[in-house]
Amino acid sequence: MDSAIAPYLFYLFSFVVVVSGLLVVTLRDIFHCALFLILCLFSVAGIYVLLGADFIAAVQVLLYVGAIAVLMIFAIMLTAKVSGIGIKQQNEQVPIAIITTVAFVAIALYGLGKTIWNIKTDVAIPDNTTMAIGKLLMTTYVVPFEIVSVVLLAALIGAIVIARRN
Amino acid sequence: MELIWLIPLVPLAGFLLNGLFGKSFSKPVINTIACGSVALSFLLSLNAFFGLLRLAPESRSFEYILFSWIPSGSLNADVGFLLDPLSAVMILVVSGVGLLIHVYSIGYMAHDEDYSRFFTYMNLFMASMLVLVLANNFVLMYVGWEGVGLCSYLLIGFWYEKRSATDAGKKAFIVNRIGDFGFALGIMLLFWTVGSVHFATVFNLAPQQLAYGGGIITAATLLLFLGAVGKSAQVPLYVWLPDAMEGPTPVSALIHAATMVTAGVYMVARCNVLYMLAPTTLLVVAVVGMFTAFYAATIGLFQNDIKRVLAYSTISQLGYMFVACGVAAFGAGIFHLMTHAFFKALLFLGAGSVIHAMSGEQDMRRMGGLKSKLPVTYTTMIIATLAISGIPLFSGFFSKDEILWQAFSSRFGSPLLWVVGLLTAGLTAFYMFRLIYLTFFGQRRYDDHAASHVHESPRVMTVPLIILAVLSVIGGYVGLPKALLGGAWFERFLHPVFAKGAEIGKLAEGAGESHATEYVLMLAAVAFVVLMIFTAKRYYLDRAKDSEQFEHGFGGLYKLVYNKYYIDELYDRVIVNPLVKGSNLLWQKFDVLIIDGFFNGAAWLAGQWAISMRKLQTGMVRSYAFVFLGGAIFVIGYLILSR
Amino acid sequence: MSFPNVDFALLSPSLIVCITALLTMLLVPFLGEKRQVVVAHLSWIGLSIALFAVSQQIGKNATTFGGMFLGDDFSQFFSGIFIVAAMLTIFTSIDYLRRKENEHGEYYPLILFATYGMMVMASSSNLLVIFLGLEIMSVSLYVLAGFARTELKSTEAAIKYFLLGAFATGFTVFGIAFVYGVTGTFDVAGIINAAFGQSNVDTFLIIGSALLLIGFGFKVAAVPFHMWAPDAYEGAPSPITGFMSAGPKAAAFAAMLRIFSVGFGSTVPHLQTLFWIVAVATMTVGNIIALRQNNIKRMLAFSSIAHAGYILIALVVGTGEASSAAALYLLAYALTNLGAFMVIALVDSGAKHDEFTSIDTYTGLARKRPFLGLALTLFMLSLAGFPPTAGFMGKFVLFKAAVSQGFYVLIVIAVLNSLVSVFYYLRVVVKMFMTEPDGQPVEVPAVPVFLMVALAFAVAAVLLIGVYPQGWFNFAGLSILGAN
Repeated sequence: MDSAIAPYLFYLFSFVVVVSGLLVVTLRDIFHCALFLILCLFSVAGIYVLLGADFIAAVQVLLYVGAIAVLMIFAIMLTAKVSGIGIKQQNEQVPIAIITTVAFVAIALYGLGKTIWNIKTDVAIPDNTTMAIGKLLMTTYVVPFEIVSVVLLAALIGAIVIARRN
Repeated sequence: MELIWLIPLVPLAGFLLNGLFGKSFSKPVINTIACGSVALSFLLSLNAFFGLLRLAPESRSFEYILFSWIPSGSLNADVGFLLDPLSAVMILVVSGVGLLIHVYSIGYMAHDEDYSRFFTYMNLFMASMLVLVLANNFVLMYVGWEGVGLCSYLLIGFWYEKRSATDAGKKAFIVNRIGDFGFALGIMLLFWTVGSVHFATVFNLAPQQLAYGGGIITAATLLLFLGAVGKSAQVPLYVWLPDAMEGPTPVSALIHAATMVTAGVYMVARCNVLYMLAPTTLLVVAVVGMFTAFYAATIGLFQNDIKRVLAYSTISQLGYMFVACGVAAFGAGIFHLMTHAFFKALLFLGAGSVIHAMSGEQDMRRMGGLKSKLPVTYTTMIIATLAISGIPLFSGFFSKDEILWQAFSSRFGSPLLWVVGLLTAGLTAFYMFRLIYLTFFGQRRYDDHAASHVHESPRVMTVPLIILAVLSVIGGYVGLPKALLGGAWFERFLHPVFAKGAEIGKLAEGAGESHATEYVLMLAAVAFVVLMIFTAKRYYLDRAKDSEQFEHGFGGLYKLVYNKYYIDELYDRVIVNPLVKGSNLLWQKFDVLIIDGFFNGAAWLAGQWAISMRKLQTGMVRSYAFVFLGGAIFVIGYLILSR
Repeated sequence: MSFPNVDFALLSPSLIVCITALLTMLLVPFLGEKRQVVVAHLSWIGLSIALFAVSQQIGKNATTFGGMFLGDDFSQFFSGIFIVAAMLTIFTSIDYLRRKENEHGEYYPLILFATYGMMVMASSSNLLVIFLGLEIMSVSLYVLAGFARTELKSTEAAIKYFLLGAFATGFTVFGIAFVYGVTGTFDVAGIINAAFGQSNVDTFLIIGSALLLIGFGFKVAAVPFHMWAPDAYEGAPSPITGFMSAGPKAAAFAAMLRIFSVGFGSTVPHLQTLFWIVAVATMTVGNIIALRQNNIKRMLAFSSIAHAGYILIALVVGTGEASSAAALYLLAYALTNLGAFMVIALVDSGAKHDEFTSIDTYTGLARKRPFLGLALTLFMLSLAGFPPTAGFMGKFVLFKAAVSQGFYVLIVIAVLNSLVSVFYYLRVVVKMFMTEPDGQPVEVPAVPVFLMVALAFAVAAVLLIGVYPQGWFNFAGLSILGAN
């Protein structure tokens, strides 16, 4: 990635992430929300690419954009008459939510201002992260890797139990 | 001796068996379990005692740790038992007298509906009392201490349909709480300063770590003594014991005469090392003991309820024991504790036999002339009365004389103590013979209806009386003093327990006055007692018609004594009423206004909050998440802003 | 870059639980509707084998998978708690599900999966692995909470638990990510190495530890992350409520003890004070609100919050003694609460659909069923902390550990709180013993065999720990030494 345009691309992707994220929670048509969610996730994948994490970026596109978002759209389409209806996207908590958010942002900014950034420049980024990640998953992180399968299995059973016809 | 841990456990098992299944057991089964378990502990106690005798006197101390109980950090308390001469005497007295009283109860309680409940409580009491005297540390002793208190409360209020019984139970419980509070504070203070609750450790470390006569040791021993004052019914916490006579008579004999009330004396004797380190406390102990002995004896003079006379007599005799402890004659105190257990248990059981015969009548003014109707009861009670009065050759003579002699001659004693002790002995002889004359001699003063029921008690009740009568006679000879050509065996047996305390108090063995002084004092005491007996005879037997006149002749003094110095009224007015009024005030003002107000106010606030935050309440999960988020901001903010 | 050596013996307890879960799950479709109970029996048999395996691993204190999986006594102690909790829950459930006409075999594998997740949590000091264990546990519990699908309350409980749980998981993951970003490792020891002694603690480490605190605070129901607990406890099937209060709470605290007590406590400034505030708020809010509850499950939910507040004291104190005291406390609390919920489940199962969980249901229970009444009384006394019960011993050692470090104010507040709690625990006892039921008393079913066994076990254990805590305390103490 050419380092000269990288900052501009980063800001572009970040802008898209924030705006599309806002639209997801403010638009009234749930179908549009889903579409903007895809855009949002896609932009996040772009940021991953900028950071040199190509495998993560690919996974992001495959899983979130490809699978999960499509699943959502299917769910919306299959659920009768949800799309096209204006749903309420805000409630009476708005003022309190604003106060909370402002407080959070203020604290975060304060913290960031105090931070001494520990930027490491000497870290070599491997050319092919996919291979490196694959090896790590099979060696150092084999325990978490195996346990994840149990997480998924438990979730699967749970989903079946809940969805089962009585 | 390795079996000592079974001694308290066997009655506990009896308690569990009868407590859980007693309702479905028949009476013989209940009897077998209750008396059998106590008999078994008595046999085990005998076995332990003889095991101890086989050892050399210096090494007569044996600890058995059942398991570590509270293990955390510096506070280490075990469920561990200590067998030494002192505890050996105590377990023998407790299980032996306890066994006799259990057997007696079979007859006495035969017609009671709650037969199994009675024996359940009695066995629990035995277990607690044996834990108390066998414990090898303060914490376990405290467990036993509270256990006997609980049983006392349960048994005083045994006939809970009777309002006066439950009231008496409550009174005993509450008054004892004051003492127990002091006891607990004393243990804590010792733990805090010495760093252990284990007896042997405390008694080893205390002389090194605490200054002789210093503030800490004085405070600690005084607090412990407060516990003893409560449990052993000394002035000013004695008021519960006379009321405790509401319980069944075997209970009065076992708990409120022979065993539990002597726990305070036992505790002071057990802690003799600590008390010897605090001469001020010793003085307090002696003075409280002497004052109680005299004071209770005067109240006993003109009481008409047979059990109340005995109750005040018990308080008075317990005072004697404390006098012995206060003049550093712990051996003499324990000696009197033992003989007193025999004759006082006998007196109570005898009184129970009388009450049983009189169909529940306790007022001596409505008795009289029972001598021929109740021959066994009469004979045994006469023996006990001679013993308590201190007539030579009976057990009480030896122990009481020992205390009087020590009060006179000990480094910590004084002739004044002896004089008051002598007066008390005379008063004791007077009221005891008054009791005998009113009950067994003179005219019949009960109606024909009662007369038709009068009968001697069954064998199961009289046999324990006879055994106790024998013990009341011969029990004193184990401690025959040197002045009377004895070997003072009892005190030599106990000596290892008190040796360290004696060392601290610089008590030289065998020092003091010559035997000549001892004989003179002894003779004076006996003469005075005999004089008082004849006074009693004169007014209650020879001129029985004038006895009332005689009593009223004392005028205001009689009224004062008869009404027990109005102490109960005083306590009511000064302590109880203000407390009741205060708590009523608290209840009305504080509770109603403040507490309820607080809750109502809180509810109102919550309501207001709910109204103002209604916008927050649209969806439950949303508001939960909001609270969550607020908490998260607080947590993150706190950590970042406070760095 | 070689495959790490694997010590299968060390892994055996959790592997057995996991394999049992898989096998029973596969078996479910092949059993007819009437024979689903076979799954339950296979499950507890598997668990008892796992318990045996745990006992074989005590004292080894080894690690495997390059330090990712710890087999120290700390993990064995907690694995024991989880397995026993799961077994007791299964015993309680067999009859409960039958009476509620909700006998579906998947229930048991889900309990086993949750147990497996807890064991993973307690058996690692690697944040990633702990998180995965947490997720296995949580996912299974979300479903179990909603297992009574025909009951609105149960579904509501599951949804609330799930939504808020997912919310909290976000915090946990973010926390782990921040900590990893600062220190470059997931391992607690490595994190301390990287962060300790730095003059200026990295802001992201602080935020990371705060986020972890929030995430775990949610799992143990610490105020103000507790709001889910009452609804989830009330709505979940009664045996699951007992399980939730015993296992997952202990698991989350095990992880917290590993992470905070030996990890961040010393590196992040003011964390101790923060724990102090959270502990006090948790015990106070829990106890005060519990005073006014009329549903016994809801009351015990707030009681569980209050108990979390007491246990948080161990994290304030942060010494080894406090940690082992907390371990003993968790054991005592788990056994007591499981026991209480056995009785509650039994009473509850008297009604086929709506629940018999109001405290009024217990009016006069002890008169008709003295042994049930006595058992529940024992558990209530243990929760309130009366001697000679396990609950007393737990409180005693925990408070003592705090006092020895000089936390007097905290302990005074805790003791006052336990005094307040006596009121609502004894209210149940008073209802059972002293009041006559007005109108038709609730019909309580006879105690089935398995429940009887479990109940006897719980009673005996609560008394045993109360009378003879030494051995347990030693084990808990050793296990903490192993963890350090």
